[in-house]
Amino acid sequence: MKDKLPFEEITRKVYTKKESQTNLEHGINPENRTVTELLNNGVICLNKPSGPSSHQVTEYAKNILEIGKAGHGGTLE
Amino acid sequence: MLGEASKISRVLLLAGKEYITLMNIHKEIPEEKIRKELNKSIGTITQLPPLKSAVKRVERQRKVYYINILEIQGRDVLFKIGCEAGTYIRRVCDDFGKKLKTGAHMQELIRTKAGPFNEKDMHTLQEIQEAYFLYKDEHNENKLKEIIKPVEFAAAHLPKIWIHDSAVSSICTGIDLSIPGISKLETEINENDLVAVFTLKNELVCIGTAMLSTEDIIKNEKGKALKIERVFMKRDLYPKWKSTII
Repeated sequence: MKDKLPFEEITRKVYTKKESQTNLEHGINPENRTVTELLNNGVICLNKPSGPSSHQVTEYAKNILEIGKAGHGGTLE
Repeated sequence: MLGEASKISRVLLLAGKEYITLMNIHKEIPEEKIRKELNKSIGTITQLPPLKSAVKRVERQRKVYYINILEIQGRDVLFKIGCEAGTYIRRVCDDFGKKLKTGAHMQELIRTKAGPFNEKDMHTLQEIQEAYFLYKDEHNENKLKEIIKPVEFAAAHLPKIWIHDSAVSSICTGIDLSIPGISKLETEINENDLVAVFTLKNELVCIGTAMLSTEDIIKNEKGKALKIERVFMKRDLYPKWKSTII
């Protein structure tokens, strides 16, 4: 049974054009971000309950997490 | 999408989706006929957006990658459908009913994939609330960290390019990416593909449209490689190229 979206079917390899080092003084590996950083720049895959609109559920999530800004990635149709 | 990450919504809007749908057919018809007709919806379909939709109501083409029938019980059909962004499943059901002259409608719909996200990553509002409570009141951040993914995750389905530290700052001011700025890149990038650009620490810098294929970037040492569409990284995170020389 086929159940893959087009991007899931492409196997990509990494090619090194020019090796270089990254300076650890700037930036941070995403895995090491703090919760505060995640709350300000993160994503949640939310199982939306039926009933309230996507917009309303986004508002609920904002209130729960006590953050000022959030958006959603498209309504269900 | 929380805070600054709201900007990534367009990337997810444009990404392929998968849904599980419960369709109700208004008259009893043989199972075989249901299977045959639903399979015809795989491939390129033409559909008119529903009356209550956010887009202009003109016929448009969308690709349906797969349909898997999970269960048929009388007039109820449960199926999984993988499709291009902007496919209206409500329409797929309506059109099915029209073609069979029985009428049909979409009874229930859940999204099981949106680009890199699938049902395994899905959390309820209750789970989020519990995790936030643990974090706030008991200073245990593990659950919340499991639920909130870094913004980078939302671009995981896109082909990737990694750039040198020295190229980050100019990209953040909106200047298109040139070949000398590139450290590593993935294969199978075609011209006009949407590409995600990362630092060597795997932080998302921007997304852009490829102006060259992987092969062309490998072959050449000069020229523009990517047109910037949206910058995600803050401007001052990496130093300006000139200041690193001094």
